[in-house]
Amino acid sequence: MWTGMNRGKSILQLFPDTYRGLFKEVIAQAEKLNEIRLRAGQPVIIILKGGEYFLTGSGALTKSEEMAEKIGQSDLETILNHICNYSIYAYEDEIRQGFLTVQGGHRIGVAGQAIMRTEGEIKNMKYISFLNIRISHQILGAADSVLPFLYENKKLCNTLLISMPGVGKTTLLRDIVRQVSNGNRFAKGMTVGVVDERSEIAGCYKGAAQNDLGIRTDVLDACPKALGMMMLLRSMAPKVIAVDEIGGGDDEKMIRQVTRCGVGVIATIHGSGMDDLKSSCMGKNLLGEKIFERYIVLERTEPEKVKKTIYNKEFVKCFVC
Amino acid sequence: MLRLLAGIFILFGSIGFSFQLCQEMHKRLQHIEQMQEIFRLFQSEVSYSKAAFPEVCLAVSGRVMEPYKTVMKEIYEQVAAKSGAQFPEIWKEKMEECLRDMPVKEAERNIFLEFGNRIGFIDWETQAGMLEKSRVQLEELHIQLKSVIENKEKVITSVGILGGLMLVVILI
Repeated sequence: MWTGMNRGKSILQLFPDTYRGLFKEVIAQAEKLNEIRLRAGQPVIIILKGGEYFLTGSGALTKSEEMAEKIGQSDLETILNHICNYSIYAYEDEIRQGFLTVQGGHRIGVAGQAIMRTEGEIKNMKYISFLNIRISHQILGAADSVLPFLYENKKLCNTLLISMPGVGKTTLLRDIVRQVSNGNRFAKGMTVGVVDERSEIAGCYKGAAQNDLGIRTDVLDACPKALGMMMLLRSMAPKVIAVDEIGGGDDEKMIRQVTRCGVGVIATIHGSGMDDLKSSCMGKNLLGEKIFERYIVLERTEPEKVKKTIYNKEFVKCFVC
Repeated sequence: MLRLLAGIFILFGSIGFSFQLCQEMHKRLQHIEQMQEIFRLFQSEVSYSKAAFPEVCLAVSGRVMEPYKTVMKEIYEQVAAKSGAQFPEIWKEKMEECLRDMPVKEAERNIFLEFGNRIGFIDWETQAGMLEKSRVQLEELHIQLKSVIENKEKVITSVGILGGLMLVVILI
C-alpha cells in the first residue's frame, strides 16, 4: 500500500514547505528510516536502520552533535499544527493517548505537560515540546517462514507472539493477518477481525487502514481490546481475531470467551521468552489452560537479524529460523 | 424634444446612481451576513463533530452561497493536495482573491482574513470561542451598517432625485 516513493512522499507531507528542504535528503531514504525525533531546543535526531544520527542545517546526516541543527519550540508548534491542519482540537483524543496516526500509517508521538482531570485521568496536553515521528514499515512476506507451522489440518492454530519491544512482533502479526485473510497455500482465506487499540497494526487514518491487512479483514480502530473483541464477535462474525499487546485485566477473560465461541486468536505479548511468560500471572493462566496452540518467540540476535522460535502447545520447540 | 430627452436621461441617471449606492450597501450587508453564517457553521462543526478545518470547509461549502461555496471547496482541495502550504496561508490567499471584487470594506475583510491567525488551539472550547469572537465582531459591524443604511437610504434616494432635477434645471 505505502511503499518506496509513496512512503517518502507521505513523510514529506508531514512538514510545511519551509521545512521540507531540511528533511528532504533523510526522507529520500524512507525505506531505512525508523524515526525522526524532534525536541524543542535540542538537535534533530534521526534513527536510520537502527543507528542514531544528527541532522545538519543543510539536511545531511552526521554523527557529530556539534554540527547538529537544533529545532525551536515555535518550529515544533508549526510542524504539529501543519500535521493537524491547524485543528489540534480534532485530535484531542489521540493526543490524550500520546500519539496520533497520520496518512501512511506513521505515528506521531507527542509529549509535553499533561493537563489532568480530578479523577487522575489525562484531559489533554499543553506545551507540546517533543515529537517522535515513527515511520510505518509494512514488510510483506514477513510471516512466510512461520506460516507453515501455524496450521494443523488446514485449521489455523491460536497463536501467541512473544518478544521485547521493537523486535518486530507487530510487523509479524500484521503479515500473518494479511496472509490468513487473503488465503495462502495452507488454507483458504478467512474473515479476520482486528482490534487495533493503538492503531499500530492497521495504522488507520480517518478509519481507513493504511497497511495491507488483506481482503477479508475488518478493523476496529482505537478501541480497547477486551471491548473490541466482544464487539467484533457480535457484529462481524470473524473466524479469527487478532490483537496486539495483550496484558490488561480483561484481555485474558475475553480471549477465553472468544476461543470458547470457536473463533481463533492471534495475539502478541511483551516478554523475553517462554520462561518470562510463565513467570507472569496472565501468562501462567494462558499457558496452563493451553488456550494457545503455537507460541512464536522473537529475539534480536544481531542489529538486523531476528530469531524466531516456534513452540507447540506442549511447549516443545518445533522450528527455529 | 431633444432637451426633454436629455433632461429625462440626466434625471434617470442620477436616480439610478443613488439606487446603485443603496444596492451596494445592501450587498455589503449580505456579505457580512454570509461571513457571520460561515463562522456560525464553523463553530457548530468544531463543537459538535470536532472535525478538522479542511473538512469543516468542505462541509460548510454545501450550505453557503457563491462565491464562498466554491472557495471553501477549493480550500479543502488545496489542503488535501498536501502541497506544503499551511492552512492559514491557503485561507488568506483564497479569500483575498474571492473578496477582491466584492462590495466589502476593509473592516469585514480584515475580520474574515484574520480567521487564519485565530486557529490552532489545543482544545475545541477555546477554538469555538475564537470563532464566536470573530462572529460577534461581524455582528456588531452588521448592526452598525444596518442602522447606517436605514438612515442614509432615504437621504441618498432623495439627493439622487433632487440632484438630478437640479442638474436638469441648471443644464437645460
